[in-house]
Amino acid sequence: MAATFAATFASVWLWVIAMPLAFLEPEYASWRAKQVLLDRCDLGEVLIFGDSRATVGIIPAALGIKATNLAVGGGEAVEALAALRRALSCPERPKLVIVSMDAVHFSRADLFWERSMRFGFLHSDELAELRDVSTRLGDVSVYEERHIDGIPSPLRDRLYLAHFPSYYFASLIEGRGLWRWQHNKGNLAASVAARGQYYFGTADGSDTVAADGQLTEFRALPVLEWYFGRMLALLAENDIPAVFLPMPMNEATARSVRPAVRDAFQQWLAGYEARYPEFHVAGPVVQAWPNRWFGDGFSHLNPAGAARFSAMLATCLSADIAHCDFLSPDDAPSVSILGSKQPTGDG
Amino acid sequence: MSFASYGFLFVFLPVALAGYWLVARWGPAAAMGWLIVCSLAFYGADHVPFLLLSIAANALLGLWIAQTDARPRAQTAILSAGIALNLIGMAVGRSLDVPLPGISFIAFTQIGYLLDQRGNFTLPVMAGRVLATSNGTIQRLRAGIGPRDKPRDNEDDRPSRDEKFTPLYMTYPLMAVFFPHLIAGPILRLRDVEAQFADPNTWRFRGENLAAGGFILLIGLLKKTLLANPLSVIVTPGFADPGALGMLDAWMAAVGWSFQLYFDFSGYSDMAIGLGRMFGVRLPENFASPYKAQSVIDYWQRWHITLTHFLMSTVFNPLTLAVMRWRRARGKGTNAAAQRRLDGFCQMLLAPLTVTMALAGVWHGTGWNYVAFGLLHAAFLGANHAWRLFRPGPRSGRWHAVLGRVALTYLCVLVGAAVFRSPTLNGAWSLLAGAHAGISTDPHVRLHAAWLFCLAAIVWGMPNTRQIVTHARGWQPTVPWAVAAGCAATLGLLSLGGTHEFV
Amino acid sequence: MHATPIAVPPEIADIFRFVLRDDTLELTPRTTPDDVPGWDSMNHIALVVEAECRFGVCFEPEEIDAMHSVGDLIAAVRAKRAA
Repeated sequence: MAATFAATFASVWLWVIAMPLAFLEPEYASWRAKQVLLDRCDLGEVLIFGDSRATVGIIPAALGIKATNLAVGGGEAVEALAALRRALSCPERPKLVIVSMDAVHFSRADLFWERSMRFGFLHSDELAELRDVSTRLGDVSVYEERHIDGIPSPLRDRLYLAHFPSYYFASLIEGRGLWRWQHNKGNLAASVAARGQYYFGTADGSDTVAADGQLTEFRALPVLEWYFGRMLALLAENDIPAVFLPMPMNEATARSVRPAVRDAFQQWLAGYEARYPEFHVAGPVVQAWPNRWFGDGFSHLNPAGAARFSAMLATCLSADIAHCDFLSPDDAPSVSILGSKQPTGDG
Repeated sequence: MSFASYGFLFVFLPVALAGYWLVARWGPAAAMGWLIVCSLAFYGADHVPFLLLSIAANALLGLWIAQTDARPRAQTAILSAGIALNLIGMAVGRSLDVPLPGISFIAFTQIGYLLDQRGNFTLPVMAGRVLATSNGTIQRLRAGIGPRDKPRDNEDDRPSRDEKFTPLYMTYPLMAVFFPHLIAGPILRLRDVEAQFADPNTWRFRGENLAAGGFILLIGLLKKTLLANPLSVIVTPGFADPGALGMLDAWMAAVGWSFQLYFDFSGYSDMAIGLGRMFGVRLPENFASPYKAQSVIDYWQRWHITLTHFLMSTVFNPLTLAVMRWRRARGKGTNAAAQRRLDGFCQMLLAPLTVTMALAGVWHGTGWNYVAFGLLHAAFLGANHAWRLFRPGPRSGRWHAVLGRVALTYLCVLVGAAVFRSPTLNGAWSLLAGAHAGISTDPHVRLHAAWLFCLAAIVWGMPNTRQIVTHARGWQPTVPWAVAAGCAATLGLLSLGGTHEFV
Repeated sequence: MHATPIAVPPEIADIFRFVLRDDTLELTPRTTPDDVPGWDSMNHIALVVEAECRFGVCFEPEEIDAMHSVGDLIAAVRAKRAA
């Protein structure tokens, strides 16, 4: 019995390590595409880091300049710093870095274990750094976000790094072991071709209030603050200008964001602007677009919205991105958030 | 700590087993002591003070009850106070921000212990001694307490050098906290463990027990992780918004819930029994293919068996006894003919049933849906008893009659389960009556229906755990069994990671 | 436990036939509830209560729980009457 157990378990483990594309959820292929581009150092002049709204909304091909979208679903400063470090190890340095994360992704842990670690995006030294920083700062919100396993953290870390197959069981079942191989291969190729950009929801509109609308206060987690600061410091050390680019959200969400949250987030970012001369925040943190530009309840832009936003970004890149006005697409929003502009078009 | 977690299976359990292997050679006291320590560790440092307080209080009350056999009124008063204290503890434990784990099971175990301290049928376990000679015979020495039974301390009663000595004073604490049953049963009574705890041969580490227990543990784990947990996909959305469901979706949610409840609870019970067996302790069966029951009465003899036995012996039987004696004292009948009359039926059967099942409902949780669940089953049981009384002919053994009885019983159970799970009674009604005229809005309806059919085949077509284990060829399995067990162990370990992807 | 009686006294047999409403019941000391239709938990108590009335004895709940056959009831009644 022991021999059978060892043999079968080892076989599954080997499969998990060797053939993730065969069974992992479709989003893995998109993460893998970014790793491929990083490994090849096929990056370009503009790099984008951030969360899923940035992943969706910024289409490198539409920017008119070689760019790579290294933002990931649930991405926070931890993932962004890891990707930036790898990018900076390439011979060609970017001319501009765009960072885009919503307030929620500074306020709480998201999918660090479920995505970043399961997908093998972070390596052992990066995980060790997270552990050390978290311990030093006394903030284990990200490091211990998944501790329901009931095992000691060092053991859990090693199991994730070793791709312990239990963590992939659900995907093995959903993916029937290898059923997703063709689809994921196609996804991977498409994502590489799209230079890292991919879509989430593609509905023709959404009026769901996203998580930003549920925040009662903005308070950045110390560990995520550390990583964000480290990222900006690294960019400053390398003389690379950086822009924080708030992505638009649907009107329903924008209406629900508390003014105190909006103002606190804006002020917090302004503090970094003051500290790092080459870092700028492009516009207000709450940018409302009509609901019809969004594809799901997380305020991810749908394909039309992403195309529109990317076109606007392309225009900005050729001018001065730090002072871009994303408040006024051709179809103006029906609400004015800051009160400084009263748009008139139909929403 | 859940049994189906990495922490329990790969840290706690190996340490508990390794420690047991080491200390068991020092004798029963060391072995039992180790298990008590492990069980307290299992319950968690945050909650252990409550457990220790409960044991101390109930031990003292138990001693007091045992001393008052000659004073029935005093004994009744102390017993009543003890029961009330445990029920209050249960209510308080449930109402905390972080409810005490297993508080309902702990309360009933303690109440059962207090009840067992009455009369001459139970050794006063705090003060008794049991001798077991090296050839396995057990002699009971009643080292009682109080003026009637002085401790015997003469030459003939002292153990010789060759005889093993099992300290009975550890029976109650270990029974109360033994970690396999502590959080979710089976509910233990003294009679379930007294003899085996007293037998020194129980407290030996045996490979056979480890293998047998491990096999049962594995079956239970797979029931929970592979059969029960995945059903959340169908059940949770259904009960969250029953008004939005079509008729088919609603019934699939209800059936899915009945299967989830069964596999989860019976799986956990299997794990408890398997764990007990690994340490040489045989816990009582708690499930015996309940959905194969041909009547609601039969169902309750197969579902959560230890709870049924507890309620029967502590509530239903005493109530029925009191009612019958009351009727007899007034010259009223108590036989089958009297039971068929309305007043007899209501007094001797319906009233005790209603009280018992209402208590059963409330024991499960605080909320009107639990009370309704209990009362619903009281009605089902009453109807079942009435059917037996008024149509007492032998049951047809033909397959279609059996199928009809099983189907009707399952339907009753399904309705009760829907009421039990639904946050509101309206919600349960919406689910069962179908608030929606449509058939299904589930994009995966065919897959889910097929899945439920597979589970139904397991529920009604396969043997239960005890039958599987009984049919296995001892604990030296053949190659096919070993291979199957090895693959099952792999599945069990993999399934700890869960069966739902993050969407 | 008690020694199993050799035969069922007529008074005990009568109790069973009266409570279970079956004059054709044939009993032995080894007869258990599984052997007799209608001898369920409720009628078990009814049998004991009838025995209490007819023999002027009173049983504790644990003593009732400990009766698993006709022989157990016979022995318990005899033990109570002898006490």
